[in-house]
Amino acid sequence: MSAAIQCLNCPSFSVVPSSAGFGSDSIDLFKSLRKGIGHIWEPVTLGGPLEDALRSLIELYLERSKANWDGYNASPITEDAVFDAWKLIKLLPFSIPMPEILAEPNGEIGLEWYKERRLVFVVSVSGKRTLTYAGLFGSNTIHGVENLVESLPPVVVDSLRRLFYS
Amino acid sequence: MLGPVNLEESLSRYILDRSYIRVADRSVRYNAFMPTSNGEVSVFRILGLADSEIWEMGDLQVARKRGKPLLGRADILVMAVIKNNLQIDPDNDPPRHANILGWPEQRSEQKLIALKIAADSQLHLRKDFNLLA
Repeated sequence: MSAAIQCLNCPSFSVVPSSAGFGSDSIDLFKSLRKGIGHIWEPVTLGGPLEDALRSLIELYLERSKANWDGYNASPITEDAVFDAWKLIKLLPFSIPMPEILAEPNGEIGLEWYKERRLVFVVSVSGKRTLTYAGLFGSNTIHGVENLVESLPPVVVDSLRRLFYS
Repeated sequence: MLGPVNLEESLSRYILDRSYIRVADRSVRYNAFMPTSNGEVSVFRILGLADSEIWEMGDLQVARKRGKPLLGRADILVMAVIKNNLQIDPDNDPPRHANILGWPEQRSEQKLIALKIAADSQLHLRKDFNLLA
């Protein structure tokens, strides 16, 4: 059996673009694509880490959806933040290890990719359809904000590549 | 009572939530140092205290008051905080308490600073961490 391998720059296998056309050909293409993507989910080797990450997200919400979950008056995780995090996780390329999913004191959800103390990249969502990111790459740093759309912003893809492939 | 904060002294951030630490390599995650919505990070000055006294202060002044077990603490030099253009306000309420203030408004910049401070900090876990977490 052979497995499909996704390139880092390509959209995730786990989402179907919503910008399809309206003609019958487009609809047929959309259905084929969705069927194909559904099939990719079947092998345990590809579905496992993603499913684990989504399960972690749900657990995070269940444990930290009440105020003061950290003892320092942290804000609760909101359903909107979970929705954005769910979408973001499903946009991640399979070639990148799944992140640790964390709560932040202001109620945002952070996705953390950690290699060592000064090689770490985080992206967080708050439910407002934006991504806030920051990274330490040795003595180099990066931070900024992007909109959460149908694909990962190039700066996030570049940062993950920098962390894992350079 | 302690005098003015000096660059060489250490601060402890007491940790009550397991998501703030990485047990595998005994390091502190950035979210442990992210400010709350009021723009503060609560810490304690530990200058001149023995290790047992530092834990006792965390138990009495933080964990018991908040009804959560004390899992560990992240120690950080004042210098490592100040170099990120933050300030330390030693309000001494309760005794030895201080707040890290002066966080930039941008969340991404806050995150970057929290990453740096976490990388510079030293995690100490409670001896009975496995039972508490």
